[in-house]
Amino acid sequence: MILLNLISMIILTLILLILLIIMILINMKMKFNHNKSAPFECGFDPFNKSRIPFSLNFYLIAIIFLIFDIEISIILPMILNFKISNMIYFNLMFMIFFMFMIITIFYEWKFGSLNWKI
Amino acid sequence: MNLAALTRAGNIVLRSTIRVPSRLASQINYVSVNRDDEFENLSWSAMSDQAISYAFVSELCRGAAVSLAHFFKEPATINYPFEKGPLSPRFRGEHALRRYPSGEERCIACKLCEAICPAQAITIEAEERADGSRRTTRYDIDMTKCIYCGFCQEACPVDAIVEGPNFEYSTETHEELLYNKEKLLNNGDKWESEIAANIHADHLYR
Amino acid sequence: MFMFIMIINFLFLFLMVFMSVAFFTLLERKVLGYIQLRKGPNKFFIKGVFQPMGDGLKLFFKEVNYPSNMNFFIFMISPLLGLLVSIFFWFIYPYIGMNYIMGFGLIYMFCCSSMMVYIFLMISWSSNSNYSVLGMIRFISQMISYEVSMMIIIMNLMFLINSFNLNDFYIYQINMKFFFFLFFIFILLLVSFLAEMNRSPFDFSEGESELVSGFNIEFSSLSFIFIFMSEYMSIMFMGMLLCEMFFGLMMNKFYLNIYILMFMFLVIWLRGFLPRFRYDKLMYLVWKLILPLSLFLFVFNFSMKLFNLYH
Repeated sequence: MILLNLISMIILTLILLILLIIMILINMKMKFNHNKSAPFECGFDPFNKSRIPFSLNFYLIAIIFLIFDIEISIILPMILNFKISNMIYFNLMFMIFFMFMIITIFYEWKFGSLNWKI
Repeated sequence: MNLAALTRAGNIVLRSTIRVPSRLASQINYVSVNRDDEFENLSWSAMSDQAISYAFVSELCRGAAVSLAHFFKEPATINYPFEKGPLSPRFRGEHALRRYPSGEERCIACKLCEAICPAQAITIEAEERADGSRRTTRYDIDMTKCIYCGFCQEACPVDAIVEGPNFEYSTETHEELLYNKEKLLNNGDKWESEIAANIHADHLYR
Repeated sequence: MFMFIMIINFLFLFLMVFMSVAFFTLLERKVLGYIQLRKGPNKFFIKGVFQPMGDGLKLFFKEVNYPSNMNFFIFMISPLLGLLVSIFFWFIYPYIGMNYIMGFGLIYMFCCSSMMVYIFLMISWSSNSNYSVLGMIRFISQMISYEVSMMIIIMNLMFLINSFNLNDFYIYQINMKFFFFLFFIFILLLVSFLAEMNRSPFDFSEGESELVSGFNIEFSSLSFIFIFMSEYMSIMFMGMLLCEMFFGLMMNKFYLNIYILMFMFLVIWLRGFLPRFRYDKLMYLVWKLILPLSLFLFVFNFSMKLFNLYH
């Protein structure tokens, strides 16, 4: 079945690639000039480079996301383990883990990582 | 040292690297527009009202209902080249020179319109005609200069120059929009009935 | 022979998804038009029914702009990848008639939706424009924030049915639908999906009034079609997922399409009357409201399930 998915993916990719190449070929007749290829601004040359440093809040959000994503990937196998594990131990583990998750977010809340004020 | 404090410090460091002109420094102090005192100094009834409207998202529901009601209403779209919207009798569109019912042109070359025209779009030259009456030999309107203020229509003592109801006279070249006397008289002949009806509808207010 | 039929089947599904995206754009223009008391496209061919085809053809023959200092390969290939990823979502569409159901479908869906972040990163970073990079920064932090809450809510449902399989939702809900007793979770998931799909109250990556068009500003022609289609495709997919998870519909029945259509109408309708959120409020909404709430609801539903098991 995975093979089937793979084959149909490849066929689709090829079709779309052919379309893309047709687009590039059609576009061969385009004439280049400096102003046309300038990045979009309101009529002037850009003042600064576009790969800019940004507010660190976004970075912080990404780090918190990482924590939660790892926690999610730990929970994922529990869904199937639920059928075959000892309920008492499972529940203990589950509840402690969730306590941690909930405490994590309130900890972040308390120390102001979630505040959007710079 | 927690991460949030580090972030705040980092932001300050980043900020300081960007030099801000002192002229702009006053504008950078942002003003908070949040209502922070939303729940303070409220009476119990107002508080319960607010709680209910928060709980049942009443404002959101009302907005949804309004937009859904609009969805089922008759749309205002008209099929433009075939249907047209209503025009006021005072609508100021394309210019026209009118004639008397006898076929004699009304314009007596008093040049009031030329004098009052704020865009100086009108040019008139006049001479005595063979029968001794004073008529124009040249009456040009530069439609690309005209600002459609309607002063020429107001100034005219004999209702000769009027702005008719026609607004579909776009052309492909600039020269086609420099109207001369012949073109204006033709317009007058073409739109006479509409122009007369409009003037009659509006005569009480002039 | 079976292999051949299956491949044809998938390609047919993809074709139909493309077609429905085309008509989805028409639906959006029509519905938004009628909400604003106008008619939308009503001229081309039969009352404007084939307008999207004309639009697509016109867009295909537009010229491509190559911005200066862009990364050519990534710039050309990333919209294609975006379209591919959002079409690979549809592999988890359960073919009951063909006896083809992906056993770990929802995990697969998580993987795809995480991939989308990288695709958008590539799209906007490669085009070397201030606006697109600003849109990307906003969009990525919005998307990863809402991904957490979306995953936790979906895991909540998966805990109830103890499976990753999308078809088990149908088997579990034959008698009673999740929609009625998990209504609150439905609302939370709808909001997360709206943010995840970058739809109207949360469309920060392409906020027209601030970022002109956001992350896809330098794209034109076929690249733009790809980006556009990938967005609308993911909307329809999310609609399918939401209907399947909360209404427990059987996949090969016709009424599934009606549910998806209703969801699509709902999304467009929300665009019709909701103004854009403020960015900090968006972040507060997910980190301070939806995420704690969904965690608490997770624990609550889990305990309810245990209570049922050992009652």
